[in-house]
Order: sequence, then C-alpha cells, then structure tokens
Amino acid sequence: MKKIYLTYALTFIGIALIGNPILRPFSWVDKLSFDKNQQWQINLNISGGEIDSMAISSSSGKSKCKVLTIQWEGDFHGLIITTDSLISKVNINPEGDSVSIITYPHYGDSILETFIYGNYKNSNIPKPSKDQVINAFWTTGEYLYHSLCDSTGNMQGVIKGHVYNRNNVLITKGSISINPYLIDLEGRCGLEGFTIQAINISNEGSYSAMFYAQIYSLNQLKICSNLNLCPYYYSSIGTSKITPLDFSLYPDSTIELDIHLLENFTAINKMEAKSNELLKIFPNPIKGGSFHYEIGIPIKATQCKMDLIDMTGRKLESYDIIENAGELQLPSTITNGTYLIQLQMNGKKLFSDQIIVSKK
Amino acid sequence: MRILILSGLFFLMIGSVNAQIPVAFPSEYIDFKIDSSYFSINGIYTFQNKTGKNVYFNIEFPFGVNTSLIDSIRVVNLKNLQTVHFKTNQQNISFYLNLLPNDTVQYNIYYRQQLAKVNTYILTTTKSWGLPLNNAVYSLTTNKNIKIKSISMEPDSSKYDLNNITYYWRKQNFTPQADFEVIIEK
Repeated sequence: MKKIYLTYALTFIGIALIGNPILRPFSWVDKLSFDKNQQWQINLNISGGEIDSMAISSSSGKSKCKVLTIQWEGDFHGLIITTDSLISKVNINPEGDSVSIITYPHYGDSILETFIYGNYKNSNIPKPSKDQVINAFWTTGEYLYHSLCDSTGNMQGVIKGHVYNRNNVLITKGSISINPYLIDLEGRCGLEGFTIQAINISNEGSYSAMFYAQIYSLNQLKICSNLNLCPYYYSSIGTSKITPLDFSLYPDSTIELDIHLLENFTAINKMEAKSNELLKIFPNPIKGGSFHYEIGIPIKATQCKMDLIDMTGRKLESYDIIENAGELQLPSTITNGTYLIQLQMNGKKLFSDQIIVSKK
Repeated sequence: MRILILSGLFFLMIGSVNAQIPVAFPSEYIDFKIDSSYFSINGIYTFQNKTGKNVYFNIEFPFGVNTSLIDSIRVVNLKNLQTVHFKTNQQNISFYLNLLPNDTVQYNIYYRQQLAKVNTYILTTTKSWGLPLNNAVYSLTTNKNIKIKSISMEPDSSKYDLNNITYYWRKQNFTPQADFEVIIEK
C-alpha cells in the first residue's frame, strides 16, 4: 500500500523515475513431500540474483533459514529445506496447510510464493496421499502451478521417433529448426499438466525428448520462436495438430512414437515481420533516387551504419546513420533490381531488409 | 574478544550470500529523449552467460511510477529479432531469459512516460550485477525550447543542430554512484 501512495506522490510532485535492469532471483518450490514420520521437505529451485536469506512460513509460524549457501554455477541450483534448516521449528500439516516461501533478494523487494493444499481454507490442491508429493508444473501459458503427482513425478523417460508433415513426408532440420514442444489442446504438456520439454529434431527427421514419467495424451506440436527464452516464457509462433499420442511413460524407460502433423506451420513467416519494428524502408519499391528510413534502436549512443549490398554480396554504399529517421540517396550508378539494406551497430551486423529499386 | 570473533563469524554466515553471479551485464547504450510531452528511453542492454551451462534468470526493469503511466513499451531480442513477452507488474516489467552456455545477447528496450519536472533514470541498481559496466554510452536529446535546469552528470560532449541539443556521456569500467537525473523548468 505504501508503494501505491509513493507512486502517486511522485507523480503528483512531478518526478519520473525509471531505471536500469535489476537481476532478480528466480526461485520456486519444486516439490513438497512428507516422510513416514510426517516430517516435511521442500525442494527449491533457484537461479538469478543474490539472495540474502529465505524463510518458510506455514499456519504454525515463520522462520528464516539458518545458513544459505548457494554456489551459482549456471542452470538452476537445487536447495533442500527441512525444519532442521530453519532458525526455529516450523510445522507443516500434511492434512492441509498454507505454505509460503519468502525470498529476500539482496536488491529489491522480497518475493513471496504461497501454495495452499488439503483441508486448509481456500485450498486448490488436494491432500497428498501416502505415495504422492506436491510438485511444481509449468504450463505453456507462462505460469507455474502446484499439483499432486506420484513419488516418481520427478523421474524421466525418453520418447523418440520421427516427425512427418501432413503429406506424410519426413520433416528434417531445414523444415523445423526452432524449439518445438508437444502439448495437449489446453496448452499443457500432458493430460495432468506436466513439464514441457524441448524436442530436438535431427537432420534425419528423428526426434527425442525427455518427459516426466506420467500418462500423456498429446495432440499438438507447438513451435517456439525464441531459443533464448525459458520454455515457459517463449513467443509461440506456430501450432499444428498432430495425430494424438496416448502413452504411459515410466521412469528410465524409452518408447518410440512417430509424430504425424495434421497442419502446416504457416505462422513461421511471422518471424521475419518482426524486424520491421526496428527498420522501416519506404517507399519500397524505390522509384526515385532516394529512400526514407526509420530505425527503432538507439542511434546516438551507438555507432550505426547502413550498408547497401547487391545480391552478389558486393557493398555499393555505406551510410553513417546519425538520426532515427531520414532520407538517403541511392548511388547514381545503381541499376534496377533487388538489394539488401544491412544495419550495423558498433561494427556488428544487426539485421537486414530487402529493397527493390525500380527506377523508370 | 572471543565473543566478538564468534559474533562476527555468525553474522558472516547468516549475512548476504556472496554469490558468483553466472550472468554479467557488461554494456548499455541508451538514447534519452525529452520532448514537450515525454521522457523516452531507447536502450540496448547486453547480457552475458559467464558459464559453460545454460543459465536462466529473471530481469526486472523498474519504473518508479505505476506501469500504467508508462506507454509504448517494446522489448526485442536483437539476436533473433523476436519481440519478447514481458510480465507487467505494478512498478516494473520483468521477463525471463535463458542464455545458452557462454552466450551473449542484446536486448533493445524502448518506453516512454509523461514528462515531469524531475526525470530520473536509476543507474545505481547496476550494483545488483556485482560488476561495473565495461561500456556505457548515454545520449540525451532535447528540443531547444525545453529549458534544462540541471543534469546530474557532466556531459563529455554536446552537439547542436537546428532544433535540438544532444549531450553525450561515454563511460568505461563504470559503477554508477548516482542516478541520471534531468530537471527541467516547467
């Protein structure tokens, strides 16, 4: 509430505050389980920025961890917390409870993650039975939720096979070279909503993927456009229905299943269109001796150049760019045809766009 | 004395985790612009995976005001030219990145907000990355009609054209000790 008041106060007195990126820790409860003696254990996954401390709270109370030693080596760091890890004892009721994990980052506000299960008020997760744990699941809809799964829930098996297009032709790497995922119609990776795994398709059209041991019923192959984003935070650019795959995967087992697409991936072309937000050339085709441009990236804080290149790769002209928009002259000797405009920033090629010169 | 040493050790143990952060934020190039209505930011931010493993992390771009007052937010991954899906929170936007081993990516982020009397871009949060910026280049372009009362950092150079003034800052090995603040007469 204080923050909201501060926000409006700053706006009212005429202060605009914005800033540089902050590296935030990224943590979540991967698993909550109880042993035979009803003692709880929380498996946490952590990545990202510095953490000062963490705390666990339940209906019985709240306590910080005694010592938190995290050695960042890349990927996610797994951390196991039990009541012995805490400064004071916290009970978690196996019948039902509201459990929160509070992360205190070195920079920025604390991060709270709560899940409620069993017979506790407003619970949305059933009580785990003897052989069940509460597990974290990511959906393709970009969010994390917790649900029950059996104690093999974190164990994986492998599915592999070949991918065929709707004309029953084997798909090779040239056809799909970006992240595909197998999911169900509701955007989940499996009927019970389980983890998404990228599938690598080889040059020979074969694929293999690790999946958690579960019962699956999958009917879509989704392509994700951004290899540099988390699988659960990607931009989806294409989905094709597939001949449904119904299978049970057991831990450490391998099963073979071919994927048959029922649609084409027409949406892939949208990838190209995105560069238009950063570079606009007009008119195109160019009928006169000059053209206009608009560039979306910062120009003044960088050294930007725009090269005019013919289809053999020969550089015809190099323009120094000092404004985000302007008009540039074509070389007087240029002939009608197709050319590339390539934008460079700080000596590095960023992207290019095609232009057509069609002078009378 | 023994109590003092033990207390010191205890506080070291429960204190801040001196983590080896697996990602670096080595450079930024930002064009600031002030016109009669808006304070806009167009930046390129570089993120680098320092490890031989995949690294996932969460980046937050703080706004000192409610996000609803910020408009035209655009985040683009310059490696694959993809518009990045970000989460809009009350006073920031955030998004997750997955960097491949030893990979470097650049993101272009553009947004603007209503011009205020005091326009601040928070640089001091750079400390959250644990290392100085290798390269930081800033420019501020304002219309000549806008009267600037003060700028918190002394510009390295400036350039005048018919309608605008552009100030430049070029920093190396830069750990910002103060924020970038432009006060205008309103």
